[in-house]
Amino acid sequence: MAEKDNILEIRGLCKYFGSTAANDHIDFDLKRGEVRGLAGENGSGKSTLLQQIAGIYLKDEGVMTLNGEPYDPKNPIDAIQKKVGIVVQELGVLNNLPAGVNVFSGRMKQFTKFGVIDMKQVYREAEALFDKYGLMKVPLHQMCRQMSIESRKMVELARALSGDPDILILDEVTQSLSQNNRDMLYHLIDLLKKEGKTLIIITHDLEEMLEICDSISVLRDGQLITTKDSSMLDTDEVKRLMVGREVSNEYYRSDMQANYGEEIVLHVEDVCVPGELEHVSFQLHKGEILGFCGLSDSGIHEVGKAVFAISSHRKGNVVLQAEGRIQINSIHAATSNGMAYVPKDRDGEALMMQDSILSNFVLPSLNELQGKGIFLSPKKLRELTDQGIKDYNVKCRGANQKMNGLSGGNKQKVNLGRWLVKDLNVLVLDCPTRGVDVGVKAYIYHMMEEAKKKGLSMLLISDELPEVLGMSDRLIVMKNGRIQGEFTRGENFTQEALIEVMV
Amino acid sequence: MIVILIVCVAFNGAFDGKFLSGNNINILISHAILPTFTAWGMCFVFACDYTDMSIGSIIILAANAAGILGSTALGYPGVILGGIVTGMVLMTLNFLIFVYTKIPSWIAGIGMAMVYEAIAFFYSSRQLAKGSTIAQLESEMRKLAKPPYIYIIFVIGLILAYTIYNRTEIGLNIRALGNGIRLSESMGIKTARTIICVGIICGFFVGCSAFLNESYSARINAKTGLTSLSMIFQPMAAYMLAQVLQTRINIIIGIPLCSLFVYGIFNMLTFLGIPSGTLQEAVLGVIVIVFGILAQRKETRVVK
Repeated sequence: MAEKDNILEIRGLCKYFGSTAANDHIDFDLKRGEVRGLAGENGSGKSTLLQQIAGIYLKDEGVMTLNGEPYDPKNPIDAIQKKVGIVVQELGVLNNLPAGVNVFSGRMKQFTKFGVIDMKQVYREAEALFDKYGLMKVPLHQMCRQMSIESRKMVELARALSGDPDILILDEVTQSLSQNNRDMLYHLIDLLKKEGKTLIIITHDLEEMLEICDSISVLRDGQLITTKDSSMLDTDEVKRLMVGREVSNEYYRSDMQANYGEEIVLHVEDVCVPGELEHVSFQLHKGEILGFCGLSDSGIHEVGKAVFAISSHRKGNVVLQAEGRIQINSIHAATSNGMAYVPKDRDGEALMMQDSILSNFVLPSLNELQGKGIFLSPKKLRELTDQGIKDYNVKCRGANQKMNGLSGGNKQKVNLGRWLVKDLNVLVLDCPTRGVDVGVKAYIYHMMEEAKKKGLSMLLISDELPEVLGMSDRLIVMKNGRIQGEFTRGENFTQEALIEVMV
Repeated sequence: MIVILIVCVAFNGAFDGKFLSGNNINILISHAILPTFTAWGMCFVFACDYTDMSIGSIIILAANAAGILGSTALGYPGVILGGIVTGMVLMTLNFLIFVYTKIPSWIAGIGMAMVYEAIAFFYSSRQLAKGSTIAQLESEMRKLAKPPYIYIIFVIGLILAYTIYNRTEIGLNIRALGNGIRLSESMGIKTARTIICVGIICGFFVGCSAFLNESYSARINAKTGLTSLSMIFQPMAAYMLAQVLQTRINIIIGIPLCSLFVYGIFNMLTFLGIPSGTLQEAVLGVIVIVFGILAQRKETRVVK
């Protein structure tokens, strides 16, 4: 019998992928008007659970009840019609359709007369939706492929809200957003809560989760471990519940002073990219982690692309001080002189998702593995990959497993590890911990610290202020494509000081 | 566009006004309309990330069906229905095979092209054995490929293609499929049904192209050894050029314009005395590459 206050009740929910139980007999109740956090390590089954609630996956076993009625969504549209909306973890937009069409994709019947869609009405309704919820404006006629990750997330959010959902599921949305849009999202969550809506939120930022959620459910190895009020939890307790043991509280650098060599390894001189960057100059020292932060549209992500010569129409100089001054005017010049770039859009820009871990891992090292002949030794490829899997603790079924079968955190270990096995001079990291859990996050920071000790210089671009504050020796704050301020570790190195310059 | 106009006017002046004469423009437009219908069909196929190499062989069979029915008491309705129904049936069959066998479409398409070529060849040989020829339209039954009928058919085709591609749920669903099956499914799109619809829609336009070709040429001979593939090169060139221009012009409108551009180039080369065939097609290849390069240069950066 359904409890009156419960909007959703789940009993004995199971989902299997092959022999793996992604969800193992989960019982889950959700109260009307509640904001529920879902915590768990990468691969614990959080996203699978939510995707079954949202109709993306069909359940294998179990019963769901929505508003006291049996609930078994056949697809996301079915779920939206029953007022359950979701914003998925990985980007879920149709890139070759305009943003406005994406908002109502699959539900165009409401705008159709005699089989023909009234496109003006589609765009009008989409715009009204963005206005109603105060979402960051995006060009609705533009193809989604031409938009930034953040803008695409806004389209997904608008799409989820377009069904006026009673239950809104947000799966790691904040990790794609800059600070101002995170604030917007928090405001939206408050607004929806006041309207009596129910939200389920996954975020790997546990402080954020504790702040915005009324209660938190913890999953581990596909099973629901517990559900507790947020007021009864702190981050250490959530971490302990997630991994089943005590986890070190401090995963950022413990030293509070800047610590790097005097030698300059990278000169960035007066770099301009039309419409993106204006007169950006800085230097990177040996063994330094130089952080970049700013609001959305500040240009931080474009700095990474410009340094690595991905940006078209870049002006100014990027000079690597290796064996002499080397102009970095092409990606080839960058990679062949010990530079590497880890982009923010891991699945779209960095990894070959349909290919094996082995293919992905060895790709940056093919020149070294080739030897004198033209043939690659399968043995060497295998050895490098197996070693990488071991060193970077990648949880997988073996080197031949496809990338798309790995959890977000393990994908990122492959993505980072394949560069760190090389003898690099400069590593550009754009949001390296996007979509990974606290355990993997700590591991990535540990990898960065180890690399720093070995003299690797890094540009750390991040939307998360605690991350750049926690890891950087120096920090550059950007606004509207320009450098707005610079901070050095140990000198007024606080979130408040940064925000003052950012806004 | 201005450059093209200047070149046309200059060329016209150099050839005593023959290039832009009413008669020549009429020929140019009529020529351009034939591949336009095929290119519109291909546009739907490419939009959902499929490739079908059998379209040329389907045009041959559909054109012959149009010829056979056009020679019966059915008359013009027979010509039209023969082309369209055959095109739709065969293209739908192809897409059913793509969906249910899961064979990559370009491989299955080549297989089907061989089958369709063999059927056309079998029909042709049988007619020959009977001392007859393949279906041939009499001159009084070939008005569909002549003005003003060809223009009327073109306008109907343009309205249909534009509306389906841009203003119908099935058109948007087909384009959504280009982002991958899983993502489309997660958007609630019934992917198998949508893919089969691609076959039906493409088949309609391919069928139109078939009866227009039959009306224009009176007979379409069977081809073997995958030579039917060459029938899709010019529509493909028009499609590719239109794709290059699609940031400025809707691809459905761009296709006939690009088709006209391609035939304009061929026409100019003929005026210059360059023989039709391989050399002219080599020029076409160069034009496609130049447009491709221009498209890369015009590629917009990430827009916020």
